Amino acid sequence: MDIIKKILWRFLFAIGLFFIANFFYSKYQFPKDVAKYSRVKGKIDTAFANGEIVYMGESSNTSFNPWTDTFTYSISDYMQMYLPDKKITSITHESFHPGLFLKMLNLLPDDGRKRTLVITLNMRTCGPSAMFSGNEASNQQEALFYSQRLPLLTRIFLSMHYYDNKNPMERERLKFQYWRTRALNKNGFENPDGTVKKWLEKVAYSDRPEKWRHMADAYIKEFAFILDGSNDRVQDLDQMVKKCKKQGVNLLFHLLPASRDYAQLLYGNRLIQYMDYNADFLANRYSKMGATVINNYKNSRSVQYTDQWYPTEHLNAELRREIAESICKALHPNKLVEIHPEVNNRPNPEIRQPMADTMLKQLGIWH
Amino acid sequence: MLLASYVFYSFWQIEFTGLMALTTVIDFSCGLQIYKTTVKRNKLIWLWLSIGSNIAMLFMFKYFDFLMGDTPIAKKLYDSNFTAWMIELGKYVLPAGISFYTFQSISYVMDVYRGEQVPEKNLLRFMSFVSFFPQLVAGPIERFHHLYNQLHTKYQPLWEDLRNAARLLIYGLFLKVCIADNLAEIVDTYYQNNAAYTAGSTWLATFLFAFQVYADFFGYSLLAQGSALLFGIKLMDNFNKPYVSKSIPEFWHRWHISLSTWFRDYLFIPLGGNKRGPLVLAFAVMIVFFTSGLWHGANMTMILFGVSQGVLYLFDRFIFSKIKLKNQVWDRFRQLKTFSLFMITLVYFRSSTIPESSEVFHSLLGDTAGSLQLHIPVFVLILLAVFIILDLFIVRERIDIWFQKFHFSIRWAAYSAMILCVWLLGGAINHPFVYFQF
Repeated sequence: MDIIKKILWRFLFAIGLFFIANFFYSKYQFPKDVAKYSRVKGKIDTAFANGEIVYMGESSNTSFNPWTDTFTYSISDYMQMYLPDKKITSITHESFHPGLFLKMLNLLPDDGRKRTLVITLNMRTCGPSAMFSGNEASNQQEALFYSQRLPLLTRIFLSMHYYDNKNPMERERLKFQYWRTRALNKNGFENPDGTVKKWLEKVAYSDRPEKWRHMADAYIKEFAFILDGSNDRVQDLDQMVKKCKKQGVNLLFHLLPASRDYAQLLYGNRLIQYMDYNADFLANRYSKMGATVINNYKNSRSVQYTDQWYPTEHLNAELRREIAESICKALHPNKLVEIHPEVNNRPNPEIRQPMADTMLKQLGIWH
Repeated sequence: MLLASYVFYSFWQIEFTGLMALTTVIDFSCGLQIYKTTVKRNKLIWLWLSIGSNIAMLFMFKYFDFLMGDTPIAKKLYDSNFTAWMIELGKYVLPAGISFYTFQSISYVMDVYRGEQVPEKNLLRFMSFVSFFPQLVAGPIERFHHLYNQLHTKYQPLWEDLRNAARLLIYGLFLKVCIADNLAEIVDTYYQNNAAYTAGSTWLATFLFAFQVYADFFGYSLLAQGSALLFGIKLMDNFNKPYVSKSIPEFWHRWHISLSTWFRDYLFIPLGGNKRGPLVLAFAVMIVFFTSGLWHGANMTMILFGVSQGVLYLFDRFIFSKIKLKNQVWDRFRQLKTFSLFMITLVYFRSSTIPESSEVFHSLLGDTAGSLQLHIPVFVLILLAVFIILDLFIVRERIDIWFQKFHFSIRWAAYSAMILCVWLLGGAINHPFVYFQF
């Protein structure tokens, strides 16, 4: 009994100390820590506070092609041009993914305002390469601040690294384990190599030119997987749908295009089958769950990709505009205005973008 | 306690609990067989079976990639899912604490073999000794007779233990979160681009790393001791102010004491120790430090770290110790020399590759074209200065024990300050305990 009394007394002291420290910390240091450790948090608060339509995406929103793009407007910029009467804000940052978008929803103000969230659905972020990316720990650290908890508690979690802080090596292992153990021969798919690991080995030891091997290796790593309900990112998206329904938020997913042309040229139907399946899986799942899904998956040509030798969703101005138009049409079909964007970039005419298809076709080394 | 230990360990990677259980069962059985058999040769066979199985585990999970690389055998093993799993685990996430619990388990079997220990007949009790969670992942490496009796005595919570445990936990957290993690951010910044920094910055990074690794491992040891004390169990001290040592031999009596004494009892003495002349001594010392380097990591830099410690040890033992002077200045000089030499050899410890360590050594000698300066945030400088002044120059015992001499109000102010520092000034970048990788 004596021990309990002594512990209780000290425990109460610690609680008191915590609340006093929290008061001073919130007032003087927390804003500085937010600026230092979570640069996006301020943007999220502003976007949610001001936007009728909030666009949430990754680098695909803002990346542009320095060789050919006359316009460097992002997808959300184009949306604002199409719908000038609506206040459109954006939260975008490279390597963002559904898990982070879900946490950002914690910051949605409960002010009764009607909002629409446009969430980028990038099939590749559901694959092992993105899920086990070495940068994920820093994303998760930033995400500590996407919360309404007491500021000092957030700082303690930061100091104690209380988040998914697996180191890059551990993530690398999980990625290799995924490639080694996940069968590519299920759900009616036929793949003579059986797993990504075996497939990659075949690519590595093939007698094809190095350029082809590098590109094939990257495409297999990024796209050769089969989505199902157990995928972490799919579960995040599921929760996002539920949360938005609960909070009365209008949710729209837009499925990004993927570079099918190159996948087709590299491996014929063998790789495309997985990409098509995963795209259908995502589009069907979230349509059925009641979200609006804009499917731009097949609406691209190889020339429209900024990165030619590696699969990304960095798109040129033409495609960014088309995507913006498709989203706006789905949101407010009768309110779209005709747009005439002003030139805001001067590409260097002396520089030509090296196109993978032209070069590889010349070498005669496509599939 | 056994269940709690295994649950704790499974949070890291559930597969590794099986590995630990396997080691434990093998060593438990070998211990019993050694005790039962009366034929010396058979005893030796069981002993080597135990040591061999532990070394095999370490080889598979810790040294495979280092020793086998891309050899045809490695490729063959990588084709099988089972062995590929082990290689991947070892290559990317070494089973936490494997070097610690295998050594703890080996010490038990060796003690049984020497007749110094009666084997445990209850497997579950033995498992609780190997897996005791506070010290499982990074020591201290406890001896069976010391830990076992405490583990199986009825637990009676004492206020004194709880108070001391809280003290150890607060101080340990402070060292790890405030000192080590903040220093790690600076040191990592340097090592990410070491060639770009000036010679002065290289000296600064090397100096800071010496205190990072000390605060990190000392902090961990205190946390382990504090956690164990919550259950009334007193673990051995692992550090005793190593940076005030006057020689490298003395340093290794004060630094990672549980490992040093393990090597002394189970490798140095069996190899001949210091009773068979200088040549045998030199040989035993070099073998011990080579093994110690390899124990620290499957990397050439770690081996060089170990070997350099061995050379410095012998230098002190055979040359420096012959100079018999008794005055304060000489003592301070020896302390400074010991710290400086250890600090410089830590370059091997911190570098990932030999070329990287060579670059750092060149930079220490002024051979660098770098122009960047390394900066220390003011609050880190203050924390470090306070720690160094107290730990090295003013306080003879451990700082948390020293606090006990003061009035209640000063004690509480000190602990509250430490708690506030942990809350508010912790390093933001995740730096796992340095010794977790071993």
